[in-house]
Parts: sequence; structure tokens; C-alpha cells
Amino acid sequence: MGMHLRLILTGVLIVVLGGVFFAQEAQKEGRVQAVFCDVGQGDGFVIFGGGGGQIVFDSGLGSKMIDCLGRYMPFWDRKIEIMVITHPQKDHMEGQIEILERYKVGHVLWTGALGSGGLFEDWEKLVREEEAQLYPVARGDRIEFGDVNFEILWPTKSFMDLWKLAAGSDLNETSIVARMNYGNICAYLTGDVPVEKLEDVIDKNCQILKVAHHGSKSGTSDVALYKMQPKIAVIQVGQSNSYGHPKREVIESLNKFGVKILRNDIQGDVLIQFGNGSYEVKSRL
Amino acid sequence: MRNGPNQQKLTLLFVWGILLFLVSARLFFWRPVVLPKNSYLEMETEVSQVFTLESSQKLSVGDVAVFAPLYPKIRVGDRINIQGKVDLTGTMLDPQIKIIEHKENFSGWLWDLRQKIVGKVETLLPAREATLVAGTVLGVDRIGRDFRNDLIKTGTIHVVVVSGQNLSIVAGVFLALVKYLGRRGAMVLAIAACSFYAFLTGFEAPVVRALLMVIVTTLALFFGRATTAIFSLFAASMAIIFVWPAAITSISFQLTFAATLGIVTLGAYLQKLMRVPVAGEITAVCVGAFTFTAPVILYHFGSVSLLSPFVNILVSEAVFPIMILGFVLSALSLVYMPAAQLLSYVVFMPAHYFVRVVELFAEYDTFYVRGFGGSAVYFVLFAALILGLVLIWKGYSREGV
Repeated sequence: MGMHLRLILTGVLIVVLGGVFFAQEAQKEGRVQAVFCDVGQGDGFVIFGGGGGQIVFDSGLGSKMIDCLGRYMPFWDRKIEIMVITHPQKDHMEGQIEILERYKVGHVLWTGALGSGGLFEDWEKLVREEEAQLYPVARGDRIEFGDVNFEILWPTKSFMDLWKLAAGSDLNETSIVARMNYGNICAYLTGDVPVEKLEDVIDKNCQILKVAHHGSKSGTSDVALYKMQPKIAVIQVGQSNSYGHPKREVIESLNKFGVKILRNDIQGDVLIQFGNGSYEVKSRL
Repeated sequence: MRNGPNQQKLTLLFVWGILLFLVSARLFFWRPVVLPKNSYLEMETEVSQVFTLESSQKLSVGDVAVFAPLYPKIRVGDRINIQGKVDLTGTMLDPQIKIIEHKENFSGWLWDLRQKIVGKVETLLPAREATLVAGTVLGVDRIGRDFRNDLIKTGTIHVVVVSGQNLSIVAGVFLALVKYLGRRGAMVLAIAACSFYAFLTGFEAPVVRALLMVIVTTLALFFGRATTAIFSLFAASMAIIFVWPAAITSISFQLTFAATLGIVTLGAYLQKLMRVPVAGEITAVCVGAFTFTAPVILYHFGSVSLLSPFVNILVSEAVFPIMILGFVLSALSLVYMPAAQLLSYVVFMPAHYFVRVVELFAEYDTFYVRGFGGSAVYFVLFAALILGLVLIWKGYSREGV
């Protein structure tokens, strides 16, 4: 075999194999999917809108969210289009520091509720340095994102105005509740919101529920489940956590309503892929 | 490769020179700071070491390991006020830390530079691939818990944290230039390159220990005989234990020692036996290192994967390009990010291959040997068995192969 032929064959081999690899990587962005990352005792999930962009909700503790994004996003995509912080508590926001340090972040959605301590100061500083557009959101806002859209259900603007005048004792009350819609499929994304607030804002049935507050008793009730009629529930919870989450009562309620339970502490990352009017659950990629 | 008596004398002289330097340094310059245990501690200190873990920062204050929250970030050179309870094992969890000021000094500058490079690499590559470059090139351990578990399960953790293997690769590259540089030139360059590599990785104790063991044994093997290498390895280890008595209980030290011993004994023997270029050499090195490190891993982690040598053989060819391209990527990221971005796509390939192989084999639980964790008797028996076998079969390699 002559040198020219060898060189041509080498080139063809690299192009063909590289092409297959790139095509496989590109598939990661092409479909609508939600990945509830195993971030330990905290919340962190990413939704791929189908148009090549990602919206990240919270990010758990430490660097687990970064690890998750690295595995599910194509390697060349170093931008997060939208990052949402449901409320400024460590188990929801610590991982966002690493995201801000490693990825380009386009927009940051929050309620305006202020956190405290060095972590929140670092987060604010990095958002400023990133020059990301910071949007306060409230009930009634709607975000179109690729093939999906999100409706903000909580908090209301009037509640946040009151909160600014006299901050309450529980930051969880300020937690964003959103509903993701894709065709006839929808999902309630509930942060750590107390169940009394949650019950008030549910106005339709949805197939998917991100269980509020890691399966704490304060985040789920029979009333809420009755109003939602979910088919599957994702509980973002860490193994052997000191809070005893998820609580037995919550598991019993979910079982009573025949809801399939998916837990990060048992299944690892929970991946839900959406198709034409259907969805499919995969516990790992 | 064997040489005349002059080369051997030179090697031995070099080995003894290093050992003498270490002993003098220990006696005259270095005094360990011992802090009280099982008591409340409040002190002001300058930070000389910080490791960023998945959900905490680890500092060393005297002989106490402090685990602080991830934020605010603490830098080497920071003067801090620290308050907290030190337990019996010399660990302080969740202390109150106040940063008083930042003092500019050389180690702080070097630490900042390494962090800056790692920060840039992390913006270019996905998390796991970035930790491979950060670990192999700069010795910065940013491995998340899940990936760390996968690496431990597959027996490949030594690739990512700076270890004897990485230093051997650096030494090997320059020793391979012996045809063009001559023996002395290759030796000097290999030592200089290894030292520069250790400098890049911050001259932390495990790196310096690995550096000593690798330089001493690689050179002894290259210029002398296998027995000189084994003798040198033991002599270097003795000196290290004298200087850092705590090293004897350190996993990194035990693993580097066991792996090096495995490579110069069983590895060298298998290499002669197989006579297959490149593949035979890699297999010999991996099997040699695995057999000797297996009891150490079993003792500390309670399980060892029998697939480990196979996984090491599969990933070993990726380590060299990750290190070399990773080094260029690191340098380029400081100069011109768009070019670094392009290069990162090339670096991604071997790094991603490494990650996927490790993830794939970490899933296979059936190939694990479990138990014996913490059992010293078992450890001694296993070590005696391996050493006995090496001694018995050593003669065969000389006569028969």
C-alpha cells in the first residue's frame, strides 16, 4: 500500500469515526429531555428544550451538578441559556457557583429574595462578572424555551413586595414553582415550597411532579396530589441524609395515589425523555 | 540496559546525594507542628495548602486536617483566623474561618497560577475530562465523588492524582532521547523535566515522594541493574520515611512504593517473558503494578477489581496524549483562549475515551474481590507470597528466558 493511499485511508477513517461520534454527541441536545441530577441532598436538574439550549434549575451542593452537565451536554456546548435559582439556600445554589465559573450563562431567573453569608455574596459577584441578565420572575410570567414553555406559578409579585418590606422566617416560602409544558405533557417543578402555597397554585393535572422539599412532610399533601394527579414523582434526595428525607408519610401518600416514585438516592440521575405526546423514564443515560 | 562500573557508581552517588540532602533537610530545616487533639482550637495561621473537594475545602494546619465549607474560597497565602474542635484523629470539621489578609509569596503565586490554569481548562472541557487534565498535568485534585469511586473501583485513580506513573512517563520521554543526547544528557534532562513537573504540581509532599522514588529507580534501572533499582527504591523509601514519618501510613506513598516495586520486579520479568513490543511492555507494567498494589488497595478500600490490569492496559495509551496535549492546552489557555478552545476538542478525545472506559468497567461488580479491609495479617501474607514468588522465579528469568 502506497503512502498516498495510507494517508487517504487515515483521513477517511478519522472523518468517518469522528462524524459518528459528533452525531452521537449532537443527539444529546436535539431531543426534549429533563435530567434530575443526583446532586446529593439538594435540588438540581436541567431541561433540554429541543432547540440546542438548556435551562438549569438549582444546582445542589458542591460540584455534582457540573459533573452531571458534563455527562449530558455535548462537549462543545459551554453555554447555559437560562439558570433558575428557586430560592437562595445552600442545597439549591452552591453548585451554581461552579456553573458560573465554568459555563457562559445567558440569563439568570430569580425571585429577588436575598440569601445571606459568603456563598450568596460569591454568587451575586459571579453573576455580575458573568454579565448574565438577571430577571426577577413572578406568577403570570411565561418563558418560551425551544419546544417547551414554563409558566411561573409562585411567588406572586405582591408576596415578594411584602417579603422585601419584612422578610419572613422561611426562605422556602419564596421558592419558585413552575410548570413545564410540552405538548399535552406537563411537569410541576416545586423547589422547596411549603405545601399550603403549592395547593393554592395547582390548577390542572400534570403527569410529572418534582416533589417539593426533598420529600419533606412540609412539601406534599393528599390535597396537592389529588389536584395534580401525577403519574410519576421525582424525589431529589441524598443517600443517608441526616433529615430522614423522604418522609414515610410522603412515600405513603404517593403510593396511595398510585404514583411511580423515582429517587436520586436510589436510581442516581433520573432522565425523562419526551416524544410525541409521550415520555420515557431512564434512570441513567 | 546494563552499563560499566562507572555508570553504576554515578547512579549510586546520585542516589546517596539525594538521601543525604533529605536527611540534612529533616534535621536542620523542617520541624513538624504538632497541635493538641480532642480540644477546642483557636489560632491565626497562614494557609500553605488548600485542596478543593466536592463539597468542602481541606486545609492543613500543623498536623490537623481542617474541612471548611466550599465558600468563601481560601487561597494559599491567606492569613486566617480559625476556630473549631479538633477530634482525636486530628480532624476539624466545619470550623469558623475568617480571612484576615492575603500575603504574597512564591508558593501563593504558584498556587494561584495553577488554579488559574485549572479554571481555564474547566471552562473548555466537561467536568470529568477537565479533572483528568488538571490531575495529570497540574496535580490539582478536583475529582468528584462519583468519578473518584469509579476510578478507585477500576484501579485507575493513580493516573489522575499525580503519581509514580505520570512521573515515569515524563522521565521515559526524555530517557528515550538517549540516542541523541547521550546518557548523561538524557539523565539530566529527565531529572530536570521530572522536577519541573513536580514544581508545576506544587511540590506537595506526595509528589516529592513519588519524584524521589521514580527518579532513583528509573535511573538505576536505566543505567544499572534490576537489583540496583530495588535497592535504590528501598533506600529512597527509608529516607522518605525518615523525613516524613507519617508517609508510612499514607496511601499514596504505599501505592507508589508497591507499584514501583511491582514494575521493577514482576513487570521487568514479564517484559522479558513476553517479548512483544509496546503491547507486551504495557501489559507487563500494568500486571506488575497491579499485583503489588492489589493488597494495599484491598487493605485500604476493602475491594479490588480483577479487571484493573485490563482497564489499565486499555487506558494507558490515552494517558500520554492527555498529559502532553494537556500541558500544551494549559500553556495555551494562558496565552490565547480561542486557540486553546480548538485544541481542547483534540484533548477531549483521549480524555473522553479514558472516562468512558472507566465508567464502563466500574459497572461490572462481579469481578470484585471483597473483604480483608483493614486486615494486616492478610496484607503481610499476601505481600510475603508475592515477594516469595518473585524470589523463586527470579532465577528462572535469568537462566531460562
